Amino acid sequence: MNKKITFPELIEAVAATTETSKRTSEMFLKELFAVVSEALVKGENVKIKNFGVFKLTEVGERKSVNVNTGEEMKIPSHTKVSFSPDKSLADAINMPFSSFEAVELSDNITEDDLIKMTSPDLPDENNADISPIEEDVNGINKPKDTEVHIQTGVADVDKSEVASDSNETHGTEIEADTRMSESDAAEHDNVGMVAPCGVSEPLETAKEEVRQNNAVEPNKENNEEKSVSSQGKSVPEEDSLDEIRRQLENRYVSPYKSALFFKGYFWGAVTMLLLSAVAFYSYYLYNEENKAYEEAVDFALRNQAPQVSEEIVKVEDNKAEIMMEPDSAAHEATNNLHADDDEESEVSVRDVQKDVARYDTVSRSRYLTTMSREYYGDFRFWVYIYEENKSKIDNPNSIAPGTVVEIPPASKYGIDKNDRESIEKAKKMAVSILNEHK
Amino acid sequence: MDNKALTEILAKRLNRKPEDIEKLLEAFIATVKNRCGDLDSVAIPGFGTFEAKKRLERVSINPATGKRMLIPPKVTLSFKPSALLKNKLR
Repeated sequence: MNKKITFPELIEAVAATTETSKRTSEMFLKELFAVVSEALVKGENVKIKNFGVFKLTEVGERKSVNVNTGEEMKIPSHTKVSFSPDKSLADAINMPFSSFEAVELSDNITEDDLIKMTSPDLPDENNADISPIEEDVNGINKPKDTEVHIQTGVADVDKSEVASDSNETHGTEIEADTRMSESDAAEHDNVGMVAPCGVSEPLETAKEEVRQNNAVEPNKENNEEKSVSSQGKSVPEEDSLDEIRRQLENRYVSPYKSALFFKGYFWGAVTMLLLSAVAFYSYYLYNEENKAYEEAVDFALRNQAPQVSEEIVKVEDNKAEIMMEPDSAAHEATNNLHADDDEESEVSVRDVQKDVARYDTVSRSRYLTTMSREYYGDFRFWVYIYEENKSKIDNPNSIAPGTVVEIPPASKYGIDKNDRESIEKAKKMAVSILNEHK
Repeated sequence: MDNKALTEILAKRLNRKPEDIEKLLEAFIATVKNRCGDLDSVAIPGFGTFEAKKRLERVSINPATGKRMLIPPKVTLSFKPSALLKNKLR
């Protein structure tokens, strides 16, 4: 299958079938094609029995366009070799398809029908339904037609039932018919409204009783409605079959489409609701956190003596900073609060008593940077805390949890979070410290 | 050049009997038939390629009668001359 047989393989095959040496078959094949091409060059046609004919054909001069440059160019006249296989060879190669024969097509078969024929997944009922519609469109005035239609449509139903059903529909149909003949075109719509109910309802019930072919039923109903409504438009053209089919297809698809549409709406609403719920909840949580923080600060402030106003300012600074970056800072602060709510207030109390020398404990969620941010307003000043506690801390990147560190007063190292130089200095120090402990 | 002339020339060149040449020629044809029947292609260096091609079914109209015919799908043997042969013929 789709393999390329090379010359050596061909030689082998020929040698095997003729029971000669590979050498002879190679010589033979080489000579064969040499002779053939020589003859062709001489301008002779070559015919090989049971194989075919190599023909030479003259190709006249023609104009062409170079694809790359877009330039026009002339292709000079030349001879071309073409090969037409012998009938026996062609038939042998066409073996798998030899059973097919060219078929004459009748005039009323369209391309659509051919496609339908080749795709078996289309239900047969569709085809069966379409033809009666044509009859309906052209001759709804004849109730006999509709009767036949119904009977063919519900072939499986008990005969008696069919008889009663068809009689019923027959009656309504005649009624409609007479009315239609009396009235003018303006009343066509009314007729259209009446007729589908009369026809489809008994049909449907009968079908429900006998076979539960769900897929076909709505289709059928649609067909019938369509046939009548198209009639109601009072355009009974002869070639309306195609139009009806198109409309049918539209009809058949549209409920799906609308269902999808509404589904999309529904899911959109649900996601909106969910999103708003999440947003509200997170806002609520945030408020709670803030409140907790404020309470803690209040508690701390209440315990402070009036002479340490500096401390108050600091705490308030902290708070202000946290307010400024509620995302990270508030979160961190609250984390700490939750973790060691009591400790926080204790610390501030201690601060108050000792005025300058403060202590803090390193924990899993509380690093030098956290403290620095808390006490000095910027995490970069952690270097001074390290500097102060060098004796206790070996490596600033891995401090054992529980280590108590002394927090130097801001004035000792000239810490000022609003001063750019001070921050730069801290940064440089950090670099050198980290280099030491690489 | 017909089949007889071809076999005679080949017999003379290869110093073999024309019957042997006939046999070899038949073997070659049988090989091409078998391989192309399996939709393979047979390449001959310096000459060209014989390959089987699938043709789809189609509707054709007989210009004389105006009748439409459904032509069934089929496999045909086609020959593609090599560039060398093409240049020689130019």
